[in-house]
Amino acid sequence: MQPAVDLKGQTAAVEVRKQRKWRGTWQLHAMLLPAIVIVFIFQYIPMVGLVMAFQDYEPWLGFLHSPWVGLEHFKTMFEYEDARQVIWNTFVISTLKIIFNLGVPLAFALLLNEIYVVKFKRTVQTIVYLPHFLSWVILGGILIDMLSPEGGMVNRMLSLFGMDSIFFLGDNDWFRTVVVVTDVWKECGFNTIVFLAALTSINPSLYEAAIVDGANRWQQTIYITLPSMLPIIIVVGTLSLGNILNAGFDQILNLYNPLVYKTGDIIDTYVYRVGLLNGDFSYATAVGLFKSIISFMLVVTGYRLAYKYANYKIF
Amino acid sequence: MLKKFLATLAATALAVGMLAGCTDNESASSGGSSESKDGKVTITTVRTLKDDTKFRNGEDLNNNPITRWSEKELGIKWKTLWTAPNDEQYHNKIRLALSSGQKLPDVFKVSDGQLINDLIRSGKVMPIDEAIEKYASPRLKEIFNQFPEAFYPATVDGKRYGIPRFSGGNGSDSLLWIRKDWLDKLELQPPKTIEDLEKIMDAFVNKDPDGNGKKDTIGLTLASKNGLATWLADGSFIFGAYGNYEPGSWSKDEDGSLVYGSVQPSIKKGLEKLHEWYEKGYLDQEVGILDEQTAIKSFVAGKSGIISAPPWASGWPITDALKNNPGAVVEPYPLPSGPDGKIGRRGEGLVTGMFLFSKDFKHMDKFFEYLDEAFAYVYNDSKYFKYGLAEGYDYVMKDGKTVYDDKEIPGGRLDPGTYFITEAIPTVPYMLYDLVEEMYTTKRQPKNAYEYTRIVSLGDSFMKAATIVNEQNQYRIENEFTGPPTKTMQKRSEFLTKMERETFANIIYGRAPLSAFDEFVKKWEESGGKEMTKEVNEWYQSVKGEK
Repeated sequence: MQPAVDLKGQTAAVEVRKQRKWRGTWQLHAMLLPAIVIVFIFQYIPMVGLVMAFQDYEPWLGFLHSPWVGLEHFKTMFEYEDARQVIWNTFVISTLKIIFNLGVPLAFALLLNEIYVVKFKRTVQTIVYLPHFLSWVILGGILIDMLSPEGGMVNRMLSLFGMDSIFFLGDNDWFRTVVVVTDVWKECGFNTIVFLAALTSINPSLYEAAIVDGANRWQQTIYITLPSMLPIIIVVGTLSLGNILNAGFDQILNLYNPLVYKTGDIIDTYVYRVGLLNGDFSYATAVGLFKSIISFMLVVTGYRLAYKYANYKIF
Repeated sequence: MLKKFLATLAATALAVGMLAGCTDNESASSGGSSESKDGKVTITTVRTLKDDTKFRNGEDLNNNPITRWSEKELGIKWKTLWTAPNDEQYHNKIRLALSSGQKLPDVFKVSDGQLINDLIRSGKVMPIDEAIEKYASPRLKEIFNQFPEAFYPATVDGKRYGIPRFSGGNGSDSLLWIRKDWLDKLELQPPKTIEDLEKIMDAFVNKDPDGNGKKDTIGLTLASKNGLATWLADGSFIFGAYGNYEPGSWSKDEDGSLVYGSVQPSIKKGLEKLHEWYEKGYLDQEVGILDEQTAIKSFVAGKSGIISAPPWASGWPITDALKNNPGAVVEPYPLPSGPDGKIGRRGEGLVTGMFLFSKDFKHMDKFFEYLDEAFAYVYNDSKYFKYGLAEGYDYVMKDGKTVYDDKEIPGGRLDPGTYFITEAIPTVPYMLYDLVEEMYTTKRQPKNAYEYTRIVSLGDSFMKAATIVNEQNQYRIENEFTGPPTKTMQKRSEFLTKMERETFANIIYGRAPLSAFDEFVKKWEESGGKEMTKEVNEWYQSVKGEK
């Protein structure tokens, strides 16, 4: 019994097992290949274009010959008078969106889960999911109509209760609320479905045990449902952290206006005006890059936190 | 959208990298346009092709009455290499061709100032002063001399690089459209001055012109989200009544230099009026968030009595307003004057794009010949197009007479003018409305399909409106800056424009006092406005320097 030999034998066995595994599954890996190639070509190679952010890009020179300017565009970004306002707006709007886009679908899924009439449940689920497919260009028009202070649906309802009409889209106090509420209305269906799926996978024996212990519905939700759903909530939450600087370009672009620049202008709409309307590509790329870096850092942080406090590894 | 934009950028950059190696070889092998044995010349081009451009019997841009005419009569074969459905995509494709070092087509139109400048500075398009001198017909030279400023967008270092594609000149200039039935009902006279207009608006708001017993009507439909001087629901006449400046455009000061309209004292007076009107309920409560398309809703719904819009508004949106409100009568009226008798309106630019020519293009003579023949048609001086461009397309002969009516032409009327390289029957500034005025005042019959399609078929209301606009031509305030964004503009104009829109909106809504305007002017100058003015004037000097 010589340990060295034994060890060698063990390693060999692992090797063989690995090889066998590979032999049995290489087809599956091959099927993954096209996706990897596509991701590489369309997501990774274009990243080379990011060098533009450090250049004074001139289209006919290309980025091989455009002059280098180092971090100048990033400096400009922070010298911009409204930069703090724009970043703050972005942060506030997206944070609210993240919170409500987690909370509302969760509550909704829990409530929907209590319904025993399957047909009703499915119908509601589908209806809630539908707005997800509407584009903001269309919704923008509809919302302007619905929220109009002159005979818009919402204001007419308010006047029934004797309230003054509110100029939702032109009022700095209301604009963010409108943005968050409409976004949650549009997008909550998707997360609802994710949470419903998680609910059905909870082991029913847990509930049975709780009932035996005398737990009521409320206690069952607090002590069984929520803890069982924690992993999926963390996944959804962490992934949405990556969007902290995406406050919803399409939505804001279609709803904002000079009256609410103060609370509604976000990084993306700012980049749009600078890059597309003014043709300053380098600068627009620099701002985009800044955004991506912040998002990346937040996703990593979220991942670490989830691992540390919930002992849950996403990837 | 943003993601797509960034992706496109990145892709562009990528293409540069990949093609950088072969750039040099490619330009060496390009032979330019070729001349075939039969003496015919092939000219390559690219263009936008809008969805509403119709073809007959499977024809396309390379085979249609216009290309057939051009090949047979002028010996020019047109080859359209590719098309794009809108300007944005079209410009992206050109930009891509430029940055990847691809060969440019012989002739192509660009309407983006920055891109025109990039193309010229890349050295891939050629100056054409000499060619104009040598090959342009007397007619073309006369038109070109009449509008020297039309060349400015493609003039660099005193050299002209582009031929303008002219707009109608005053085609999208505005006048007032007023609900005549409301005026009559309330026994009011059409407005001559801003003061008259205020009385009318007051009556429209307070005297229940639609007779429904509710106070739910407004005086004036206005769009302000994209600036107050615009192409529809235009507010420029309000500012024009107080001075020679319009918000958002650069116009000539008394000493001949260019100054930015939005920071002139007369604008303050206009804003003061707008605020007053807003307070009195003459304007839409939502005016601050309305763009051109959403603003017109109040007029279409019969809730507003006045809109400032171009003559073509008689088609859209005014027909919609008439349809929705039985009994409504909408009539065009001249713009009212301010307290000192001043009148002013936003003047449409003279050009909608510049034709640029690849440096390898050898047949400028042929291009000018073609352009001249196209212009001959609008001057009613063509040996080829007597009644129209193509029989069976824009006219038919019936019993020895020409008929232009849509219903008489088998398969409906088509406009072969869209097949021209100009993408429409070419125009010379002011010429169309001059013609309308002449036809409207003399009541004469159309002589060819152009006069029928572009004038008579649009109806009496259009002709009357166009005549009014043409009579007020001396009040045009044009944006004289037509060059690419200057250095400071690239860096600062986003911030300055945002500040301007925000300040103006807040003043109109009374969220900021009128004095906010003075602060805005001061800040505008400090934050780059001064440099911008300097650069704009340097540009202005450089383009008008000679010629």
